[in-house]
Amino acid sequence: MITATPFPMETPPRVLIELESDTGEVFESIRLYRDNQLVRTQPSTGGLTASAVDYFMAVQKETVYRAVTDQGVFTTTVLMASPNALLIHASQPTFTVEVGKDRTSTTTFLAIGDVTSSSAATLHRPIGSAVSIAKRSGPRPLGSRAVLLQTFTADQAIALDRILADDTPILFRMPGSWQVRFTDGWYQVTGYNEALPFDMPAEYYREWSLTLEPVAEPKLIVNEIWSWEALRDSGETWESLPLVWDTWVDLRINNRSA
Amino acid sequence: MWEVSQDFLESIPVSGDIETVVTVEVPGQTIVLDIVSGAVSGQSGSNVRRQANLIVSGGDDKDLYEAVSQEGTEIAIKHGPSWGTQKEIIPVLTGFLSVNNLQRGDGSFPLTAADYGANLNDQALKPSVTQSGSMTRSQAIFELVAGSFPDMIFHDDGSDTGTLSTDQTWTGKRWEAVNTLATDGMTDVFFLPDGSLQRRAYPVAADPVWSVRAGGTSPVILTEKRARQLDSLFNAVQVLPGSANGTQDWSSVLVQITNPSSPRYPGRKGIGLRVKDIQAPTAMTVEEAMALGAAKLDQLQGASQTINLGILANVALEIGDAVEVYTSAWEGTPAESLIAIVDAFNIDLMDGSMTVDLRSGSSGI
Repeated sequence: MITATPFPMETPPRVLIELESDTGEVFESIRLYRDNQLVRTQPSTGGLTASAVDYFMAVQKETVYRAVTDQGVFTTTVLMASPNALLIHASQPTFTVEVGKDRTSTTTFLAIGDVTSSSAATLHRPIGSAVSIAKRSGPRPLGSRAVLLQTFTADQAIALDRILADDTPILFRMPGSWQVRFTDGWYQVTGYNEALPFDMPAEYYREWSLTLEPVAEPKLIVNEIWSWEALRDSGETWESLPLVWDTWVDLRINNRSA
Repeated sequence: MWEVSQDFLESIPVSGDIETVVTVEVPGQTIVLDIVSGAVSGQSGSNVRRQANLIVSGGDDKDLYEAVSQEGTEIAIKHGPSWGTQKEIIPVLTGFLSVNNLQRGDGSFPLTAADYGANLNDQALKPSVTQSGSMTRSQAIFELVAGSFPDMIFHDDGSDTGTLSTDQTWTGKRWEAVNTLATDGMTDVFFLPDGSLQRRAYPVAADPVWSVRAGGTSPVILTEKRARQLDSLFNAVQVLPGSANGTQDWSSVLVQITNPSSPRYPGRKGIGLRVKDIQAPTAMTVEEAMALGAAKLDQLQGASQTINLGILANVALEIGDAVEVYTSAWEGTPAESLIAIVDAFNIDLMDGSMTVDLRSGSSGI
């Protein structure tokens, strides 16, 4: 049996997926898919139950979770009722920024701007011909686009700074009810501008223009149980860190050398 | 020219799709690489006939880089058009990777690859290889290549049936020995884009395999450039015996242009004798050596004027193929048609175009 429980009001919003054996036998293999894409955090095997937390679910749209296990395939559907769009960091779910539509307590969209897409086809005009010949080598690239955000408090500005700082692609999830022509997916913020308008309505008011380029999902691994708090509670000391983890990446995914 | 369908040829001058498939064979696995950009080029008269420069994605994937960056990694590049629901992807290069660069910063992963000739050119024949005089040149060539590629498929057009005449001992590079034998039989030996070995007679500007047109019903010419190289033009070929055992009864043959009206006539002001040396270890008589020298001289004269065409890509073209060119009329210049030989090409794998360098077989284009 599979159940998926949304937590829209948690920070960050997330879905808890729980698997329970129907046969009374332990799970030997599990692969968990969200809308036919492998979920980054895999439930651990070897028990009668298994669970995983997904931070990359769609917002106000049905998300289908499918677990392919040695005991069969389990499927469930969940609706994340978060009122806001989510900008989700690739490896640090706690960096997720909620962006509202109206002036509320969150960062809000001021505009979802122009989409531009140039053709990938090449044109060749033969000598003596009035028209060109086009050669395609694949589909048209998804359009790049501009969005305009506004922040009202210093904390909101800091949160945007934080998700933009390491320059990894960001997963944009738009609420289904907004009905905007914005394709959910991974975007590289190729540039941004933080502007302080002259007719400043509030002390901390800022306008952010971001240019987004659609990109493939980045290759990163996250471990949902591994956090700064978990590290602190693990009993390791500053001196013991290099003995327990070989590299910073090992530390981040909790891949212990011992 | 690689065997392709009529639909393939007809799809070239119309708007359509092109596709490239790059696979590398490493021990235990076949990896398909995602190409970002790249080109395959070919050149006559060099040890490496076909080579490729590719940029593939995965510059941030060290596992992929390590997997394909092993010595002896074989690569196969296929390219071709698709039309409607059909497509025809044909080989454009089979060979080995020569240089791989892991490049951080832009996510790319540049590769260069060359056909099997590059490998044979690196191999020294030590200890030396001796082949019996009763062996045909064709057998001898195949044996030399099969010494490194045991499963090689060999196509021979049968134009040369000569034998080695006397026992030959090869001490240099493997590919050098193959090419010496090929020259002796007035043939070219090269690797086809699928990696098999081809031997065929020197190309002549006749029997075109394809028509290249500007304007009209089948427009494929995008740019046209002509070049006349006015220096370093050979007007004589010196044929040297080259055999180690001294059984050839001639010492040197010089074949030169004797027609005073030829622009390359040695007696003309400032021209003098410009000699190309070739070795002919299997030519046993002066007559054979002279015929060989004349054929080589004829070939060398074919490069007095070259035409460089930018065309819509026909990736089935092979160096040495004859093509019929219909040029467009320019102001004051009428359209003309001529038959010329492909001497070099460069296929852009992403944009559906290629450039070809053409020369005539003998007298200028």
